[in-house]
Amino acid sequence: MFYHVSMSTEKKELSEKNTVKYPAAVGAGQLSVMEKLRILTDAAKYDVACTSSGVERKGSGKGMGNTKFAGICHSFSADGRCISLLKILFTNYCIYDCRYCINRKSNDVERTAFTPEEICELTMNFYKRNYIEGLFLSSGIIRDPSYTMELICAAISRLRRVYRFEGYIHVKAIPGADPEIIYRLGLLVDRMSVNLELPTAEGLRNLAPNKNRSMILKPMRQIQNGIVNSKEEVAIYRNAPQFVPAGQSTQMIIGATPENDYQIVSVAEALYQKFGLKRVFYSAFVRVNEDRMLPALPGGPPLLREHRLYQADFLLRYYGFGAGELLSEDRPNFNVLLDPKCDWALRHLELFPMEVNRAPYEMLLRVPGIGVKSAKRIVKGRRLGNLQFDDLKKIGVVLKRALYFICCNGKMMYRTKIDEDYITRNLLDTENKRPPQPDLIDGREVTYRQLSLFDDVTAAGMVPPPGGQICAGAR
Amino acid sequence: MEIVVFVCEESIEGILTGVYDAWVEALSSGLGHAHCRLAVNNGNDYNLELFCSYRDTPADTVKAGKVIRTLRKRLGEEVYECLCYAMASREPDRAEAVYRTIVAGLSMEQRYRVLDKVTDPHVARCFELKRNVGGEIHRELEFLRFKELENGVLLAKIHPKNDVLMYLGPHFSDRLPSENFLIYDTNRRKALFHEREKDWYMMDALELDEEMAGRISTEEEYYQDLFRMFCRTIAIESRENRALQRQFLPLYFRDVMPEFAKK
Repeated sequence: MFYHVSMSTEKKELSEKNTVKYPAAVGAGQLSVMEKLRILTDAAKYDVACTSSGVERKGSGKGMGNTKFAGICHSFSADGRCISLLKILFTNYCIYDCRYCINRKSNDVERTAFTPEEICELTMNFYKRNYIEGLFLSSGIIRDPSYTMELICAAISRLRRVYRFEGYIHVKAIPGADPEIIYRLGLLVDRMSVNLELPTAEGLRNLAPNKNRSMILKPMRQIQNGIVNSKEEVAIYRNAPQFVPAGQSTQMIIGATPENDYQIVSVAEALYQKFGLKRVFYSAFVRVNEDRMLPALPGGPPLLREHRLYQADFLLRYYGFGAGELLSEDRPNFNVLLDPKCDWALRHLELFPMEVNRAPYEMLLRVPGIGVKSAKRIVKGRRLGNLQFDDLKKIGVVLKRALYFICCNGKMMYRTKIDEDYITRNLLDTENKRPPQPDLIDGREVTYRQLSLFDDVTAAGMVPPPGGQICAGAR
Repeated sequence: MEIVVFVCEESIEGILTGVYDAWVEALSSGLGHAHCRLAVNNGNDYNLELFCSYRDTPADTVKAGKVIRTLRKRLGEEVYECLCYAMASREPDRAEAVYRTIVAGLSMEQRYRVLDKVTDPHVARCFELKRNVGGEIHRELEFLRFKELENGVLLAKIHPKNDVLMYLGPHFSDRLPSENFLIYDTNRRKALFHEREKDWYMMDALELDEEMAGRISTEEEYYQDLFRMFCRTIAIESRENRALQRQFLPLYFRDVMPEFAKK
């Protein structure tokens, strides 16, 4: 069966704001809620963000729901991703034909749409049973962006005002929609996101013919300004309505277009700095459509690459790293074998070993194995006494990584060398639980290592030792 | 020097009573805190030590109240909250760790900073217990599931390892103010009640009426089915990773979660 979105009928409804009726023309209504939920969940699952964080709000006592700043995950699906929000599409009818998207116009998939009533009932009943933390509503585009946005706005408004739902709501802002509707919607929800879709404008041109970069950046800028203004207003008038209080996020698809990691991280950095985004999400490209413009992925979605990008993303947001420190034009891709932080540390061995009892907080953050929480506790703890390795362990420092880079009171944990090659080898040897030993043969230290026949692994991951020799037989 | 071991009851009140009594003993005997120790009576026989005398200390609201007041005033709310979490732990050494932390805290110059004193093994232990209990509380907030009974009451059964039930009260009563709900700890046979638009309260030593608990509302099964289907559908097949799922959501919690019910 192939449905077409009927665009000719009922244009009159658009004129009346807030009283948008559910489009009867989309041929929904025959399906049960169970069927609709299956179809519209299936259509929404490639969306990444499912976080319910960023805003702390107590219940008013009159409705249902509150929000926690840290967010709460309520379940985990078989792919290990968290289920925090009821992530569904309003409808999977779409007038666009983006090549990577399962819901594109030219795909022959079952189409349906929820009624606002159904969305509200599902959300309230799931929330009441502690299944979910709120609603994440996105949608295919019916008729035009403004019309779709208005439908979403009507459903959310019903959920907030009639059902008095006070939990978390995340909606997608649709590029091209009337800014006025986006503003109205922003006052009702906690988080809004505009999908960047692909890291560069060129990729977008190739794969999403109906979208362009400036069209996407426009609502992003609008939401950013809205958030800033709202914060100022709330500072003056405490009860002023809050606009998107949990901030704005976006997502991009990784691996559908030929960008390198450096480009992607730079884009993310620019988004954080220039658009004040809360989060950038990366989604490893899953080939759901047969299309000659899309790359074949014999090894499945690029999950490791996605993982490295998330690691780098956290380094940007919480650890004070810049994109240019992690990667460069000459080294545009992440190390396959090591996480970006270890990789950075290995390239800056002149800074190590770092004295834990004296190093400034910012530098502690750069030590592999020390996270934000541990660094804070170290700084607090060392005011009251000299820290030893035992204390670090209790604080939560991952010593098996950190031990190569730190010393306590001038001593390192074991006798280790500050040598790139040596540390790399030991770090990769994760299964090896024994304390690192200098390589000893007949009691004498050696610095060479076995020539590997699988040099492709080595070459991709490790930087060759100084002099460019893989096997330096020097004693 | 003979050591006096104060054997407290398991509750927070019991432990704090122990702290009070130990303090009195430490001061009145003139031998100081090294002379006292705290243990928790968890119903099992504990190993008795030589050169120790054991004293049972029945929980006393007045004594515990005095200790609580001192803690909040002199160590601050943050430390007090941490100690409360630690006392909800199931570890037998929790009373001793809390006692020693209080001793360390009150003897410090910057008392509210006692938790930063990571070099003190008891403080570190307290912190560890708190982290463990805090983690379990958070997992209950995540994975606890209500089911709607015939009479409209929402019922959740939990079996936490630590005694976290009372920390769930504020969260859920704020979240569901106009619902009648009941959270039952099957391990400790305790229940937390919330009546529509009223404060929550707890009751000990309570048997759950299984027959009543089995009579679910007509909609209940429908929503369980819907959610089960949602969870199954939301997973991306080409990313399947059961080990990762297990890491975040241990099997231990799954028996009360409808999305993992065998159907």
